[in-house]
Amino acid sequence: MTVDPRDSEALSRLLDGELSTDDEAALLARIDAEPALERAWEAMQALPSEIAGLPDMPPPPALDDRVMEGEPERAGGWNRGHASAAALAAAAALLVLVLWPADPAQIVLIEGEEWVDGQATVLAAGVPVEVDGVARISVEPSPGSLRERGQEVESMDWKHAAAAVAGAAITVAVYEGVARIGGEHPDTVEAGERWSKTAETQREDPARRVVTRTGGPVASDDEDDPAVLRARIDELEQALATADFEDAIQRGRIAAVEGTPQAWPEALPPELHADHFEDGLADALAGHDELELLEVNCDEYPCYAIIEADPESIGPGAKPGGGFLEAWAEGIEGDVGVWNMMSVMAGPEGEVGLMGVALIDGGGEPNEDLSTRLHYRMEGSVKGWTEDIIGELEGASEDVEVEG
Amino acid sequence: MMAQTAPRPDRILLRAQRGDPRARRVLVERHGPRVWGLCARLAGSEAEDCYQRSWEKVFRALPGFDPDGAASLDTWIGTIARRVLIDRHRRGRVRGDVVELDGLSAGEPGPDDLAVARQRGRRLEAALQRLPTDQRRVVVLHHLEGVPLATLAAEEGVALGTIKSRLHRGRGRLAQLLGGLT
Repeated sequence: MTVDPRDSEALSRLLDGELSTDDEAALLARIDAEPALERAWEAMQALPSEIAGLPDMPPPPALDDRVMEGEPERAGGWNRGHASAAALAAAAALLVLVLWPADPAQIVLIEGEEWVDGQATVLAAGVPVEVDGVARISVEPSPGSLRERGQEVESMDWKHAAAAVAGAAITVAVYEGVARIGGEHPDTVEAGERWSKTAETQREDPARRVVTRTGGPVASDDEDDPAVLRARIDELEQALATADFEDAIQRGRIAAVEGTPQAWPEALPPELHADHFEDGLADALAGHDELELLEVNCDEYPCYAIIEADPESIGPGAKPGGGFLEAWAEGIEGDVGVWNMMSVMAGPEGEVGLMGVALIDGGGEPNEDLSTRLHYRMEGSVKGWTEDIIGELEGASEDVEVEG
Repeated sequence: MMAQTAPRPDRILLRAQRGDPRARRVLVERHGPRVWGLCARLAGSEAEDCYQRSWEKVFRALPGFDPDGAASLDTWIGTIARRVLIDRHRRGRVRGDVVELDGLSAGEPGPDDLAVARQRGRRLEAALQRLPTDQRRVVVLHHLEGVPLATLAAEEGVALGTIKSRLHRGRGRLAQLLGGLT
């Protein structure tokens, strides 16, 4: 069970004594009555000391050397996020996937409210909203949709989800910065302004719209009646348009999650070709017995590899293998970016650490679709391997128990 | 064999202020983990650059540091690192990193308290990375670094209410993410 974001913010204000007496009493009463809220309140109370207790972090040893040597910035400069595999690989209890380079967040919002604080693109009921600042985006599905209250969108079939999205009301309130809403000719909404699109309740009954347009109710079922035929043609056209729309929504949503397969660039450093990637990686991994190569995938551009690493070596700012990936990339002629995804999964028999690595051709920012696609491909492999390894660990544990 | 007396910290500082590389190395080793903790948590994929830039500024300003002043050396270095982070934010160079957590429900507790504490710490670190950068910066700097909210507001050039709002939204999100785990 989840806690409403407004309630969790109210808990934070309660912690700092910022609620009025009445609001405080009301919230405390709800905390007593609602277990989920009570758990969130307990977590809230523990937060300050837990954050204060987070340890300092030893930097990578080579980094201190660079500081002392006053080493000039790496080629490409400070902003080359994709050239740096260090950073914030925060390992979670279950599964954390961190993908470099940093990309603006992408969010698909079908219903409810999303706060954006920073840079993000929200697909709000199919409408792209690019935010650079602070904005609240809310989507209220069409009142006439077939969606049942409380039902999760993910459990709906696409036809119903698309119907809900098609007539949804969208509100974008910008508090800081700017938001751009729409595709080719976006509306620009500045700080302090609000943009809204009201719900389209008529969308659910296309037949009625057809009748209204023809000037009056259809009085006959006679197929020779021109009004009836006209109404049916309009109805079919409407259904076709709706189907196209649903298909477009579905394709758009799938693309937002999975990306689209990338074509192999014509001019590519040989080391990045499917024929040579694995050999180059094997050379780069030579001497790193702590890393085990599990998979090389060159089904699409770019090739990537999945490597098992000591979970202890994965964490914020970590470089499993002591920066072998960067060394490999630096040895390739041309401008090659490094991608890295790390995960730690805690199973009953221990933790599993995996990293996904890829090399991308070209400098500057990689395109967003490539980023989405690579993320999707790597994530699938990492999850699959994690499940396999945890299964093996459990199996091994069971064997030991049987033998014992 | 005579035991060697370790140099007193103030002499190391003095030597570092005069540009002695070995003394500066000692400062980096002593205070580096704090600076790296800030950069790794708040600078995303640019953590290494944040770290290097922080030390560049520290060394540049070090001759002017007053050991008898109000701020300790550790606090002074932390302040410089913080300003590096805020400068970067103002220039819009820090962007939100994609950090996905597939579920945050608690796993089975570890075999001992240390493992549980480590697991909780990891969950918290992971949850922090899910916050938007503005919220994460306020939460970390306020609770981990002990920076007053009014100071953060002044440094970031925004109203105190904005900082409080970010703090409440950030803590609220953390409580949501962690609430089911405790």
